[in-house]
Amino acid sequence: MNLEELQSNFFSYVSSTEKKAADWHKAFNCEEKIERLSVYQNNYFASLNEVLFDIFPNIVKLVGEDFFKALAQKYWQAQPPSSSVLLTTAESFPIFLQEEPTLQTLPYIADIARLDYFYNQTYYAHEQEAVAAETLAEIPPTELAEHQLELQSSLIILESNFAIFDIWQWHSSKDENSVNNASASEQEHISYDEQQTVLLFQHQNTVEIFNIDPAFQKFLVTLQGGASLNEALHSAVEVDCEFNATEAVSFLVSYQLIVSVKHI
Amino acid sequence: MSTLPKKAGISLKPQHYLEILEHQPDVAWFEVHPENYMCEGGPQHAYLDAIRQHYPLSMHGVGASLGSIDAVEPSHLEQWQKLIYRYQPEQISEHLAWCRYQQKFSNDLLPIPYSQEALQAFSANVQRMQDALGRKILIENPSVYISFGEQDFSEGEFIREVISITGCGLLLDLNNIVVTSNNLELSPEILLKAYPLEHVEEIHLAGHRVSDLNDDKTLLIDNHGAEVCNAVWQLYRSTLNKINKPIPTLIEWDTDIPELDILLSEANKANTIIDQCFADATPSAEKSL
Repeated sequence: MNLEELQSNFFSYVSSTEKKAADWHKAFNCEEKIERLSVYQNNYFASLNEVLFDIFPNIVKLVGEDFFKALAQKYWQAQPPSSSVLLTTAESFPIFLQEEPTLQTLPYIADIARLDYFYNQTYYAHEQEAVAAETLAEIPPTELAEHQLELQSSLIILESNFAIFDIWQWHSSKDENSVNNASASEQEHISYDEQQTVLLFQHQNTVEIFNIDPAFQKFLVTLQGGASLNEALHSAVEVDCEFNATEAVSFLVSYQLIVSVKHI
Repeated sequence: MSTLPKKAGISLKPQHYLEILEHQPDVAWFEVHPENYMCEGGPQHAYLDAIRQHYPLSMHGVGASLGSIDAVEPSHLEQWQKLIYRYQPEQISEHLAWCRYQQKFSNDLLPIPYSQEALQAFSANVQRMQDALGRKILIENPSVYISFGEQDFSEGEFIREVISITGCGLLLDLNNIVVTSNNLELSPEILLKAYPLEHVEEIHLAGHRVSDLNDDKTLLIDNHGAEVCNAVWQLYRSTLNKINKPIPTLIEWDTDIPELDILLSEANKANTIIDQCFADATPSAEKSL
């Protein structure tokens, strides 16, 4: 057997749960061959499962450790990692959860998984140098309104048909035991079907996460699209006539989210 | 030749970042897995930047898959290049193993047969990595649980050939020697017999787990999650005596990370053995291998 065939067979075996004595494995009796090969299978799944436990902590709390482990094993069997760098792997795990028949009673689970995924991705993102507040203050407000404001590339907006911010926050704030032991009344305040939009970004080596209203979401998305500050503010006011422009700009400045300003 | 101090270093783990920065413990150097820093930003870069200012650094890769039949991925080497530029590590290393087949990856290191074909494939990848990074790398011997039967080379012969072809160095993992020799029912001395010890530039010491096999046999599992066992300490002392010069030595710990003091204590044990082996050493006393 040449190296190509060996590695193809070996990888297929290791990334599966089959138990048979492969013919490329010599020297020991059949039962022992299987036991020895299972070390590689166990290592393959255990180390990858650990990666998913780290990236999706709130899914672990939602479904419990044992069930999560079974889900993780099924996921990695179907979709082995496509990179050796596993810090931000498993982008397709939320879709996998969405399609998992046993999880149809948790319609929000895929969005919670997306939020976990984006939180992890934001954690490892590069925080660009921001434009100093003093520099921005030197530009007269009427002039600043005609500028494009480029925002941190790590800034992510996640929109959901469910109360993902409340669900995510509730699980994040509790360890697994307290989640399992929590009374139903503790979760009663969550309106699961409430549409929520979450904003995430990195600030001074921590991930900031906010539940944002539709007007602020419109403001940010319009800025990200390359519009001027003035256009972005107008688009937000169209969504909510009481949108507070000063607060919105102050938020961007205080969290150092503006990385460049360019006159249009 | 490595510029790492010829004393014991330890694995650098996120659990210990703050304590290290606050107390700056007396440890000769740190080692990291570069794959854990192959990202654009995040706190771990900030911590490593800060720690790097005070300590020598080694980078020990686990994801290049040099033993794959396929060529090492240029994108992976580009990530290595960025880290080397940023952190200027004193030493870099990878494994005599593979973890990629086509575009599928294992997060575990898999063994290669010691065949002529594997020698060509592995050596070509070592050369590609050294060319891309513009420097010598060290290759670590694997821990193995299975046998491929009759092969063209013994492990030591294979490594010697790779070094001869590529000019790379040897990272001798003595825990892997104990694990592999037990698992393949050899003695560590037999396994080490053909090893090119004159090319050892770093030694790894780590813990393993004992797992029962049938027929009263045991399988040793290389989990890097325990203190170094007596068999490895004894092999360390005898190997240093054979090499006859102090070698930078890592206390490697990757799972069930303990308090920093445990790693420092293990490093002190390694330093004591180095001191005992070479207390009276003078250059003229060094003997050839």
